[in-house]
Amino acid sequence: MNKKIVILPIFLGLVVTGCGASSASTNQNTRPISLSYADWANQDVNQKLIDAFMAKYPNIDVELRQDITGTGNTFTGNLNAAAQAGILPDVFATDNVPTVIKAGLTLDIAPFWDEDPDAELVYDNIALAGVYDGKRYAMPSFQFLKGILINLDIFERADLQTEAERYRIDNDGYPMKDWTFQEFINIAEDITNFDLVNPQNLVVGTDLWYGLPDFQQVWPTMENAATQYDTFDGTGFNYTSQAWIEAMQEKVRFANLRDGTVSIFNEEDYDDTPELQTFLITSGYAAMKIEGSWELPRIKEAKEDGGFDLGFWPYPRGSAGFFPPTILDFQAISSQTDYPEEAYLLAKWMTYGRDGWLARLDIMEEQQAADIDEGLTPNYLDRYPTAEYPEVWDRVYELVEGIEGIDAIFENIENSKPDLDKWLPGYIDFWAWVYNPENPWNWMNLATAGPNAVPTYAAEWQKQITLFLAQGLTPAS
Amino acid sequence: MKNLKISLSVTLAALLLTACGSVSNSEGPALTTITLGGVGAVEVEFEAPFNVMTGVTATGDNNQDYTNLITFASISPALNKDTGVLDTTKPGLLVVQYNVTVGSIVARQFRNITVLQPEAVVGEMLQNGDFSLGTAVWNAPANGYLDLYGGRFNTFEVINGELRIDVVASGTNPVFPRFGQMNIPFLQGKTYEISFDARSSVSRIISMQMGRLLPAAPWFDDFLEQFPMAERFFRPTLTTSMATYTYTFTMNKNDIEGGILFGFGTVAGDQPVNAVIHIDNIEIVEVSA
Repeated sequence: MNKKIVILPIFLGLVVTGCGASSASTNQNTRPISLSYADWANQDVNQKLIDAFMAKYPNIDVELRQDITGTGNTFTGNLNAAAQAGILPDVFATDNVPTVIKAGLTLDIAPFWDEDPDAELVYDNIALAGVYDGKRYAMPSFQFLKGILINLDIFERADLQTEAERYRIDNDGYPMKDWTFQEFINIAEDITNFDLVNPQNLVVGTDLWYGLPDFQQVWPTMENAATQYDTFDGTGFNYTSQAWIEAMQEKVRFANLRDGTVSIFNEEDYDDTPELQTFLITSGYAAMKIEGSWELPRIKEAKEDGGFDLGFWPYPRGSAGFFPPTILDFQAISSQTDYPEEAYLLAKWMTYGRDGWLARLDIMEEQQAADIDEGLTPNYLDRYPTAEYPEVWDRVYELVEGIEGIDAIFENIENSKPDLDKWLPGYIDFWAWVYNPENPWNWMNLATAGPNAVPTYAAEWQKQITLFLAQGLTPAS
Repeated sequence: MKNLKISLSVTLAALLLTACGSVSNSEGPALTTITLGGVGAVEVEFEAPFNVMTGVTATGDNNQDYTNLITFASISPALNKDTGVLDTTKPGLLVVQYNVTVGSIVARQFRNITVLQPEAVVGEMLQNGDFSLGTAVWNAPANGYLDLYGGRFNTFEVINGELRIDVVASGTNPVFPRFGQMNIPFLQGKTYEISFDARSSVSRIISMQMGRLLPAAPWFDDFLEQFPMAERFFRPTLTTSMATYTYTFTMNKNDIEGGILFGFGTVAGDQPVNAVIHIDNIEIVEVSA
């Protein structure tokens, strides 16, 4: 009888130890595992990163999926089709986290994230993204910078001087890198030379963010350290706040200018002036442009094709200081994966993890060296870590060396405030409502009504964003 | 009581073997791995018969053949999921996952299968302009932008010999979503006439461009860059009746990798117009200047 009692624990012990409990942190499990991975980034870089991952974890084989293609809805549609066929990638990028959650495609990775020492180094504002009711259904992968492309040659020619109460100009003739919203506005107005008769003299003050100023989404984040993008506070928005209303009023005012201060023109001027029909920052006619770091290749383009220099300045700041606005990408782990721990290792490697970043930098540096050997101007790194890894950041700086202004953004990167577009439920739906021609409170009507109408519209928009947010998943606070 | 002990032992042994990644067989060695064969990447000629299961095998390290247990999955609509027959009139890459499961032993393998484009017809600048080969040669909808900015095609297929595209123009740009054909040899100084037949479920403008798509900024080399922006597009207004539209341009340089693009985004500045559009008989011919 005693023997029987002893035998059972022995058998159970063999079962457990013989198979080896796996650990996400050490991956001591050496069983052969197959994973697959999909995202829309550069596939050559992806494959090199995966090769490096497989070299580090020889028991894990990773297939870079070629069938999950496209971006946006196309990419998400392919993920849905893969899920229905039972072949959803174990790890995948997504630009619409709420949609893939609702489709049941994602795993709650909080158990891994919460135990991961690298995750503790993710910047606080970024770590909030992708969390719903305490569950983390996606991990922020990279942050892209939002800043101001500056035509340095135009500024040198303009020879602006510091004017009390209007703006400060540095010794090189450029805006100070700690400039304010009002300095940005005043400089845009003063540097403009809307000479359509002599287009060789034409200077448009500033090109915008996808055709419009983005002031109300960014400015309030610089007026209060606790305020996130577009006044989000973790649970809701505050469109009736003074900061949001003032920023929106300036946006509406800007959107109605037709004097060349901004890149919105009368139809007649536009049709009659070929110079206005170009991409103004690279054709050399815009002094400034609000832009994302994925367009840093424009700096190279301007130099090679136009013979002039562009810098990338910090976004102007407000009374609470400088909180660099950034744009996040996301990755998720499949709800269908048989290997969640190993999938987490892979996702981390391809995104925010320290080791993955070091491997990525090896690849980027190798690519840059090859470009230089071939006599080409290498491209700059356009996406940046979401965590505090000093040895990684030291090498990141090298890959953007020569871009005037960008260092001032990195000096404050730990305080970056990311956008909400890809992860906050209801947010994209709200903006579709804003631009819906059938909505009486739409943007076009607000722009027509003018700055004085902003408080009234703000109250309506506040009601609507609250409704859209309530219909979605509950974000982390 | 003795039977209970035997049963317990057998159960425990089975649990041990299964959980530790092997399957025992009383008639031979234990199975620990299964190897899939015949699943390497392959290129298939346009319109050639092809079955994704042909030549695929599964062999265990116990020398057993498990081929009859192979299943496959794919997201490609060109693949018959019941028979494995591939529609090879739809060029492009598809991915198939093969799967064999025996107890706890699982073998999975992805396979890339590329259906090649049809051979180019000598003497024709533009290939498959009449869509007699389906959507072959016409690149997949190049809607490489977020839907917020670019819109999409809900349908992109050839029906009754005409290309049908269901346009959802939710973006803010006149040229997205779009489709086109690259690798058309345009020569400097030559004048070309581009023509096509088209109709739309609702009257709307489309935007045709001539140029080469680039993999990085500035993303597009416009062959009409010497002209004002308004003149770099051919913007006919399609109606509900099939009609022929013609555009003539003179090439400013030699380029054999560029081509033409049809854009279905916003019109009149910022108005998105959804529509079902049919296009046929696209031609490019060299003409006298």
